[in-house]
This record gives sequence, C-alpha cells and structure tokens, in this order.
Amino acid sequence: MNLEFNLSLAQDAKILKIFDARARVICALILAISISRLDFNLNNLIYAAIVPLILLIFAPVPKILAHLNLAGIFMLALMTLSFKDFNSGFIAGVIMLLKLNFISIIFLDFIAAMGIKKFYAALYYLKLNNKLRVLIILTLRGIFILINRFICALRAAKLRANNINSLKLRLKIFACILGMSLIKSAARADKINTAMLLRSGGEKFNLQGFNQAEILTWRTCDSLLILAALIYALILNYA
Amino acid sequence: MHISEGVLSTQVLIAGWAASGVGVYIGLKKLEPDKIARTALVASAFFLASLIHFKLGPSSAHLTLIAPAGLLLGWQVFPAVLAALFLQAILFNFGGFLVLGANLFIMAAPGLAAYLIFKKLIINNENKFAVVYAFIAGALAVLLAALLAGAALAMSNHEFINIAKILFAANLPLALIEGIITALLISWLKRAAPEFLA
Repeated sequence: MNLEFNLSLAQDAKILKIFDARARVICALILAISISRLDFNLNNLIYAAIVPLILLIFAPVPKILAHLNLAGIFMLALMTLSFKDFNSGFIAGVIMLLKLNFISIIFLDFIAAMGIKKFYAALYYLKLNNKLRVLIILTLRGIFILINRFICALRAAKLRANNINSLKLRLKIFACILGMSLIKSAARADKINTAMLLRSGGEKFNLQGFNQAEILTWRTCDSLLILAALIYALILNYA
Repeated sequence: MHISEGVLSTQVLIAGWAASGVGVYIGLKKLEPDKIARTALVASAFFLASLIHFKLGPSSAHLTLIAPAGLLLGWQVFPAVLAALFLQAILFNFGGFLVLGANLFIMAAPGLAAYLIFKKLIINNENKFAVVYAFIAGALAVLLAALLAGAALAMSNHEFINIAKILFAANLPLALIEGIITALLISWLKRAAPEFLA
C-alpha cells in the first residue's frame, strides 16, 4: 500500500498576476464554456487554440499537461477502437484530446496557478455559500493535518509486516487505518468546534473567524479582461 | 471514475451541475454549523484514503470509498465530495472545474443512495448482517457510479456506448474490493465506535 501525494501546482504567470482573482475565475469559466460548447469540428478548434497557446508562452505547464494527457491518450485509443468507423473515432478522439488540453491550460493558468489563498478570497468576494467555503478550507486543512498520520500508519503497518501477500489481510489493515483515522478526525473536529465556539464568545456558533479573506480590488483592466473573454467567446461560438 | 474535461457535451455538463446543485443545496441546508469541522475532517480522511494505492497482481488500484462516505455523512456527502473534488482539481489537477458538476453527481449520488437504503439496515441489525449489508452497499455504490459515468458518456455521444460498457466491466473487480472494504470498516466501527454510525 502506498500513498501518492504529489502536489502539482502550476506557476502563476506574471501577466495574469495583475488581474483580480474574481476576474480570473469569471474569465476562465467564460473561455472554458465557449471551448466546451464547440462542435466536433477541427476548424473551430484551431481558433480555440489561440488563447491556450498564448497562455502556454507566458505560463508553461508541461509536467501537469503530460500527466493529464496520459488519461487523454488512453481515451483516444478507446474511442478509436470502439467507434463504428475507425477514422471518425480517431478524429473525435483527437478533438476530445485538444479540448481537454485547451480547457485544462485555461483552468490551470487562470485558477489553479493563483493558489488557494487568492482563490479563497475570490470565493469570498463572489459570495459563495458561507458553509461551503468554510467546508472547503477546513477540508484542505484536514488533508494537511491527516497526511502525516496516514503516512505514519502505513509505515507502521509496513514495519510490522512488510511482505503481506494476502489481499484479505491488506484490506483489513486498510480498513483499520481508515477507521482509526476517522475516529481521530472526529476527536480533532470536536477540538476545532470548541475553538470556533470560543472565538465567537461561546454563546452562538458562527463562522465569523473565516471571514478574513485577502482584500481584492476590482480595476478597469479586470473589466477589460472579462470583456475580451466575452468577445472571444462570441466570435468562437457564433462567427 | 473521473471524467476528463472536453469529453461531455454542454447539455450533460449543465444537467450534471443542476442535479449536483440540488444535492449540494439540500446537503448544506442539513449541515449544522457545528458539524462543519467534523464533515470536513471526515471528507479529508476519505480523500487521503482514496489516494492509497493497492497492489493487485501486476497492476494497482485506488479506492473511491463512495459508500462509506455516504453512510457516515448522509446528505452532507454532496458538499463534502464537492470540497474534495474541488481540491483534487486544484491540488492534483484530476477531473476539472467544468466537469465538476457531472463528476460530483457520479460520486455523491451513489453514496447518498447507500445512506438512504442501507444506513438503517446496518444500524438496526447485528454485526453479522450489518457486514453483509455494508458489503452490498459498497459494491452497489461503485457499480451505480460506473453506470452513471457510462450514462453521462452515452448521453454526450451515442458512439460512447461501447466505452461506457468497458468502463462498467472494468469497475466490477473494484466493486468487489470496495464491498469488502466497506464491510470491514463498518464491522470495525460497529465494534470500536458504534456512536460514529448513529
């Protein structure tokens, strides 16, 4: 049993850093939806390649794209072999692969690269549901709290019995580790609850402690970015 | 079980977001503020457990743990899985943001089904029978998720039907393993921490 935890955060491009996090989220959604809406037509996708290619020049994401393309190439092979007509399956697969790359580049550069702190601020200012926002941030926190516990538990299991060939036994160990982690998580959650209650004065449970997002300021360039994305999307889909 | 970006049609993406939106709305309505931390930590435990790879003969597999998450979280499985998938998209670039709605429904709806059908049966029965119900819940949840993923693919393009069949067949061994894990976990929790299931 191995735990694979390889963070693959994209690097934030200098050219995108000047824009407000909200503008970046909205722009990414407009561009991705417009590319996703395109028909299975190769001509359309050549025009759709413009923005992702420009983004690739300023913010290269080769390693992550290689990982994504492994799944994409597997899907391409499946489509080529499973469609009634071999050629149409291959063309549809290539178009799917291109769409996957274009949309992924847009989301990686516009959203994932800005980091969790800015993204949290964007969610806060975009008025995402309070409970959902707190749940996302606490889940992220929980992942970093529990990761070491999981690694220790797996290491302990390996030290006790390195060569376990029986699948049943491996599954039993896994269930045990998961069960223990759940119980310890619940205990940890109770402590977090108490801390949150104390911060709010101990009378009423509120989520005020989570309303400390980074201050964002909307400028003219942000409006222009969204306008440009809208024009590009309209040309792509209707011209 | 993740569907990548660029595969599903716009209609299916919208349907996925709409269906998931309803689930997330109800889940958040039922989520009391003092239960947020517990839901988040349970979600992160499942998130990490699903990253553990098992050696299965020459290859390896990682589990989805849909049914245990559903059985422990109930309706809150929708916001919890949303948070987990969302973080997966940001931290590991699995799945994607546009396809998040469809992926969320594929993963959370079977968990909710496991909760609605099997939760009472597991609580009210003795350990022996509860383990059997947990096994069925675990296996069925994976098969239902594979069925939903296949349906989403087939609705996007009728030529995807063959891929949907392959996807379903590929998930049969995983369903068996998930069933065993769910049964072992429920048996463990029933003995060690029965209040966790209440």
